[in-house]
Amino acid sequence: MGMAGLGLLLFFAVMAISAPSLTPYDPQYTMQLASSRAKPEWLDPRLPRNTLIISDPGFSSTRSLEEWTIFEEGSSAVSWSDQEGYPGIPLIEEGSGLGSFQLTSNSLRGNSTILMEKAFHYQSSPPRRFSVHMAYKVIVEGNATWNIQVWVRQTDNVVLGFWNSSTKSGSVDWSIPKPEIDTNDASLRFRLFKDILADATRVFPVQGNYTLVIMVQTNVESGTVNIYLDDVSARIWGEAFGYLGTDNYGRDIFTQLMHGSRISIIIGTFSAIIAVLLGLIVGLVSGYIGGWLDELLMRSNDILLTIPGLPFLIVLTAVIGPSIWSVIILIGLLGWMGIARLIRSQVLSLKSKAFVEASRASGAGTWHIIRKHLIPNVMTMAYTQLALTVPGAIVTEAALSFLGLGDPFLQTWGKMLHDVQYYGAVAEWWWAVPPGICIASLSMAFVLIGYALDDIFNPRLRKR
Amino acid sequence: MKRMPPLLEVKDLIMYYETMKGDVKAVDDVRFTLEKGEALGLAGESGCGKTSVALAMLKILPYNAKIFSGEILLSGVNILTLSDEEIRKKVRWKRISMVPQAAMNALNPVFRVSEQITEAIILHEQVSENEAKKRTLELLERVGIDPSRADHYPHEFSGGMKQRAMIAMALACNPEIIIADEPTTALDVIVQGQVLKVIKTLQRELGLSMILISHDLSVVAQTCDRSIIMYAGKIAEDASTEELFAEPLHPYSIGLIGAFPSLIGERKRLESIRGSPPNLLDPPPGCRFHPRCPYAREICSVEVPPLLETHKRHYVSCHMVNKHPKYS
Amino acid sequence: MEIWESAEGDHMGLRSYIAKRVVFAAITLFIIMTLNFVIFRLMPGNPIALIADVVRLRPEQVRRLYELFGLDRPIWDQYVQYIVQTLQGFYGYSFYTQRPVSQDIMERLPNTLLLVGTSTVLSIIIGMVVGIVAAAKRGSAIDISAISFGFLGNSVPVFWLGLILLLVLGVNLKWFPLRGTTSVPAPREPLALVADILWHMTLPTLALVIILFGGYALVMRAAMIDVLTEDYITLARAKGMDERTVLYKHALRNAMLPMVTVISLAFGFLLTGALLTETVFSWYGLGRYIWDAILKHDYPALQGIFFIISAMVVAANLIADLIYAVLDPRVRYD
Repeated sequence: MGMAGLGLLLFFAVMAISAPSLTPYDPQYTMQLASSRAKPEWLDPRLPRNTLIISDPGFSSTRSLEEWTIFEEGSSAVSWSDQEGYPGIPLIEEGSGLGSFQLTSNSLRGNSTILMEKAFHYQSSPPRRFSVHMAYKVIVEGNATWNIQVWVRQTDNVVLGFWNSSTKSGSVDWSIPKPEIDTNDASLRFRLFKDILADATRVFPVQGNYTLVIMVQTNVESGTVNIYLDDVSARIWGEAFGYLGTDNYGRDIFTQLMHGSRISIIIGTFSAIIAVLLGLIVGLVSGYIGGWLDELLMRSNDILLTIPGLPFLIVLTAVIGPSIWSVIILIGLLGWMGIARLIRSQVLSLKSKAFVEASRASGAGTWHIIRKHLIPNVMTMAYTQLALTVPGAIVTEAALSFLGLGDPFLQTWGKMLHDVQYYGAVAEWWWAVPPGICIASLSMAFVLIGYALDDIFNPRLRKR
Repeated sequence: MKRMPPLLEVKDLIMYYETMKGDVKAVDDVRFTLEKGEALGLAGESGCGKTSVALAMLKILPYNAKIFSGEILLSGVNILTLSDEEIRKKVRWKRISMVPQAAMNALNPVFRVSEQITEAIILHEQVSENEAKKRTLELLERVGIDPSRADHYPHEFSGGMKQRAMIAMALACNPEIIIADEPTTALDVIVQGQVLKVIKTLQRELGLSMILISHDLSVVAQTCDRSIIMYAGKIAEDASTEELFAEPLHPYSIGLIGAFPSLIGERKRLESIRGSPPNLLDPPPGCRFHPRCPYAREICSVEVPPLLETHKRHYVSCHMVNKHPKYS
Repeated sequence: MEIWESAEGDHMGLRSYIAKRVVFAAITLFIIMTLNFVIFRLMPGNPIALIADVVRLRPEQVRRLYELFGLDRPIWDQYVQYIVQTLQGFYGYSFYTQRPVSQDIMERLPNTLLLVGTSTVLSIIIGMVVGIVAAAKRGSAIDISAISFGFLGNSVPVFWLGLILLLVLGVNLKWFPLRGTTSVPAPREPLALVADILWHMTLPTLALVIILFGGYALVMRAAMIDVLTEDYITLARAKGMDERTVLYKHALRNAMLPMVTVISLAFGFLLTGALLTETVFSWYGLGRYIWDAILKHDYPALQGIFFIISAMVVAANLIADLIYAVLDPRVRYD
């Protein structure tokens, strides 16, 4: 029995330690990995996975242009430039650095239109979300107008116009389309389909060949126009992702599950240690010294036992503010009572044993007796109680997080269940079931270990 | 003159306890009889098997006890072969009852004392509750307990009172045999005397057969007509109390009886028996007493001495005694 | 002649025992109220500022509220006012619903009590029976399942079990409703209404009972095993009683004693479990109220709920103490 417990514990310890290497994502902050509430990949193979249409959005070398088919009308020069590159937006997104697509046009060329096309084959069920990202910079010297548009050509050659910069005449430093080209944007959906409730299923309704088209138009009266494009990426958001899908924010659920083990183990053991330490101290002092101190401590013990734990924790956490340390300390502070009683009764029975009497008769001080004689004998019970207290701490933390009182910066297993409840995702069993199983198994591990320890330290004659 | 068949006959009883470490051979080939109206003492050190024999008679052995072979004949009927229901209805308490060791623990703390006695009566006899209550009060009076205390709870009784209440309970259904298991052990000396007196008086008055189990030889000497000394699951000596105490034959008996200080008579030198009782998981071969016996010879470590009648109704299991010309 | 005559009669002991327990309960309640007061006053900012946060208030209103809440008086006065108000049953106004918290609570309390009561009774009965049989038949399938469920009850979060039951039996199999205490609209006819409520109550009760009965079974089993080793049980058998009577009359009466203690201790856990389960099933009780109050930072509501729940637990413990005194004659003499 104890071996099973140890095995389970080992399993979770390994999970906890290797969590970062098992998954590259951050459980809390890596969002938008796929469509929100994406399903696990193994659930339905027809569901679209994340599809990045363009392999090298950063235009890192001249070869990057090879994936595009470029049609020129009129004449302008199309090339790769290593002079310019999208620097990104501070704190919001990183640019890919130097390397971009350059289009040059001058008055000799007049009106010119360039079509950059990337054809691809889509073969999954219709996705819910599609987005395009693009950064552009325009340098106008002289008198010229320009226009950039983003289209998608569907299988039946219907063209959907996703974005139109509208004809502009001045220079523009690096910018991105606003609002961003994303089927999540209601105005875009309305504009394209006259229906706010539409989504990317209307963009890619069937399997087949589609083309992403970027059109750049220039009309140069005099002078030159240089247009740079960089960080051009288009993404069909996957409806399936990873081992366990994504949550409401597109975070990977599997990652949350793995990382949750660290927090649960830490919270469980630390709270239990605090509770056992407190229980040890109170039990030892109360049992050995006795008298009014014993009376006082035991009465407080009983009163604290009567106060219902979770409501008290709720009230305390709501007031103090949820954070992992306050949760650990509070759970510990409310868990020492039972242990103190057990330790105390053991101390009481030890107190009258001969060796304590002898020690006292030979003049040993109180502290010395406690340290040398009582503590070693009481430690076995302390270890057993430690193992048995951890499950309660883990489940209590899960309950607190479930109610929304956990540390808001930590995705614990309980918090995952909170999300399930809050976003009404009960039917998504790959999200709802695993955290509970983990909570239960980790707790069971400690329960089994605890009872095995109890058997070892208190062997009872088994009557057959 | 033809002898009346004995009331109780234990024949070649072998009983083991199964434990995790192996079989404990607690009762090994025990054989004795009990006549009507006779008070028989079973004496010996703790763990020699005497309580096990008593428990076997009521078939209230613990789960891991196995009766290997043997018979216990009550008026000629082997109770070991009776079904559970028959034992419950016909034997237990009705014909054989018991005053257990440490009576303080044998009374259920949540029921009143009188309730526990009337319960036994109603279980076995067809009487009304009032009748049973009346009988209970009579019984309590008999053992010297004020009937006004009858409705109290066990924890309100003193140790001696509890013991006497147990005796009353044991008499409730007018049994033929009473087993008194260490009736005085948990009591202090003054109360011991009181309780023994009650036992003796009742046994005489009611003509009961009694098996009194004790490790205290003086108790046996005071109350019993016959005495059996047991050692390590086997019978060492079986004789009338007078004969046994006047002239013990088995070396163990000699040691025991020599070891008890006598309050009357001349002061003899107290000799205790060296060594300690054997481990019944793996008892010594041959005579189980031979490692401690001052008279042991080679044969003692090889052959188990049989229980033989040395002279009239006096049985000894010792090679030295059996082969002695005086007794063979 | 008897050296150990017992002196007191029955009633004296019982009365003093009851008195002691009642006093203890009162002290506990008082401490809870004090804690409640202190904790919420510990918060940075004052309550009026918090209300003003949620609801736009004009300056005169703020001033009136100050007076109403007595915040302009010294802290000791406030404390006394709080105690008096609480004992009278007034727990302030909810930030969110703008109604007295006591009213909000009273609407929801019966539902919670219904759920808690039913689950308690069922878990105890099932737990006891399983525990008794497990003790009588050591090593049997019942014994092993008693132990397993006991362990599982400690490890599996009840709200998760509720989610699973909802998923399997409600969403997938559609045997049970997904939310609420009654259907909307609720049936008029009393019998139909009762049936409707019971139908809605099945899943949450099931979740609670599954988690809780194991604990009771374990305690009953342990208590029975202990009792069955006692001498008076062997004697009862020796007296000729059949095994059934021995178990249910002699052993059970004694094993009930630790059981009652555990029941009173576990009431707090059961109540907490019910609160959590209510949120999963949108059962219109205190649990759902807590969930909402936390979301909306409704502190008066939380304060009121904490008091009511603690009061219930204290009351349950007191009742259990009294039942224990009735069952165990020895305790009246301590």
